[in-house]
Amino acid sequence: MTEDFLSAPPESPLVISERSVTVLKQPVWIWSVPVYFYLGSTAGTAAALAFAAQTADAYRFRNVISKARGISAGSLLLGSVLLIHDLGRPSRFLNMLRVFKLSSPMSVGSWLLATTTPLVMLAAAFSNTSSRVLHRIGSLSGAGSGVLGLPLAGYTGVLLGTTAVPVWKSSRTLLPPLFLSSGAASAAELIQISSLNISELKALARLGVFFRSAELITMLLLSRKLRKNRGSSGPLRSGASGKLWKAAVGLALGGLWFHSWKPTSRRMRILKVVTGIVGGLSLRFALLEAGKESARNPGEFESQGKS
Amino acid sequence: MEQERLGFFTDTSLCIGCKACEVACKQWNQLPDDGMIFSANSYDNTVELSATTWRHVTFIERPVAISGQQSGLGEFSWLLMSDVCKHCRTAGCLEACPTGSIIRTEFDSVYVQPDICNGCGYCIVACPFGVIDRRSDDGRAWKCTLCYDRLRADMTPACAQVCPTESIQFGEIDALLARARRRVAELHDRGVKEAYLYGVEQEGTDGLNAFFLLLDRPEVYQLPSNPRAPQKESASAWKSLFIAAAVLGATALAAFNSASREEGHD
Repeated sequence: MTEDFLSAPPESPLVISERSVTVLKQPVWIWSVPVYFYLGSTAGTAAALAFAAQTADAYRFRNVISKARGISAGSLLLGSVLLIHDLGRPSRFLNMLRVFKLSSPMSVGSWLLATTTPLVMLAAAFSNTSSRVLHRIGSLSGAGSGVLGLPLAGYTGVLLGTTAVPVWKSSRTLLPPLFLSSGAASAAELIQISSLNISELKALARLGVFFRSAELITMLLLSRKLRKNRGSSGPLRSGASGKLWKAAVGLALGGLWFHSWKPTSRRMRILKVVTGIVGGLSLRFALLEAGKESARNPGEFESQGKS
Repeated sequence: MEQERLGFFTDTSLCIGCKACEVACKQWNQLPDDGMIFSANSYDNTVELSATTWRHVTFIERPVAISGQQSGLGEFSWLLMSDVCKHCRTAGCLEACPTGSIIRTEFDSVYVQPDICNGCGYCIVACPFGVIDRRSDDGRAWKCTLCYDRLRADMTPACAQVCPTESIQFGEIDALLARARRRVAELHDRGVKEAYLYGVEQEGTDGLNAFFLLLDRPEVYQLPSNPRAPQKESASAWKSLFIAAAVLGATALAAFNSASREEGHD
């Protein structure tokens, strides 16, 4: 009985080509958001790497621990400023901590950021202290920030996946591992810039190769998924987002190739880091651009359902 | 006392495109103009719902014959619809809002508290209908309030109050639904077989508190055929995050442990 009231006439042809079909609103986020996506995933994974090193052998990996904590603290501070800068009402940024909502990845992420940042700052401040008590505080904060750092590095993928924007929504299971692996690769490369001992270099070189490879594989999986479901044109395959995406894939490949070289010269390590940063930023900008294109793309119209 | 659920039933078969609802809404809610653009798109220069347009009359010139909507010669129909925020029973914007600015009111409507909103923009991409948007001049997100201020004073929302054809009907949801079902049956009897209700028993939103009687496929009216609150699918993304995080942590630990062991033996 009710079906009779609720079924649309299916036979009429859909001719609305001459209208500009505006379906979803475009994301209003500015440049500072993709930059934060990069900084957040790098910082979160750096804190996690520091905690892993601390657990394995805190004395042997002391340089890694202090550098990773420092990189993490700096990136999170800068990232927080960038996020506040993006708000329509920056003076109300503290409203982000007014409630805690599991249904909102942005709320969960705000709390992760607000807890991890002070912890990793404490850890960074007490990395090289001679005081036993302060060192202990540093280790505990390092453990806390290391554990919280992992979801902090990847929640942004869940955040993009939990939207109505078709290209983000259909990538929702691949975005968190993509952000985690990309951030971890960048973190491993950044830590290698400083002077490290043999054990430290060995561990970080392996991690760098592993995470860059994981990033590349995830990118290829995402490309394949979009191509299979939606063809070769559209967000992340053509247009501005397509170009940025190709740049990101190319730079990740280049970064992986650099890893096969012996990391002897400092110049070489810096080149690797720069490749990683530019590639990581291209990746995040490609995704934001793709979201903007996807929201206004009539071809994506039907794909709001489960995919 | 149990509050009643209030909402809109917009019967597009009765809309004459007078735009009184748009005007009344702007006037009551003191919304600025949208820039006086010329869209070259039928009699519609408003184009879409926005942060400063909370009712929008869509003009659709359809090159097909639709019962009761035909005019002129040949197969041509006018489709008119006054669009509005759907006040979804499971609302993407409300679930996404990180500040708790977007709330469900005692009337079951979805309301943005302007004194809380910090303009993060997350609700904008969480709305499957593309309704809510941010005002560039004030930085906050805005949309239809179901005239929350008028409801609290026992008044009808401005658009429904002013609608001259009762295309926009306001009232208690269950009563509106019963009326809408009768209206569809009546239209079917008259030979308007195309008529159906949009937004009732809709799985992805658990139903709309502002639902519609339509005469063509939802896409023709720029409405999604299968809208879903995005949070209904986020569990798979969280799961993926925790698996990836576990793999990352284990790999890092293994790498540092093995490097430590190798050096220890040298």
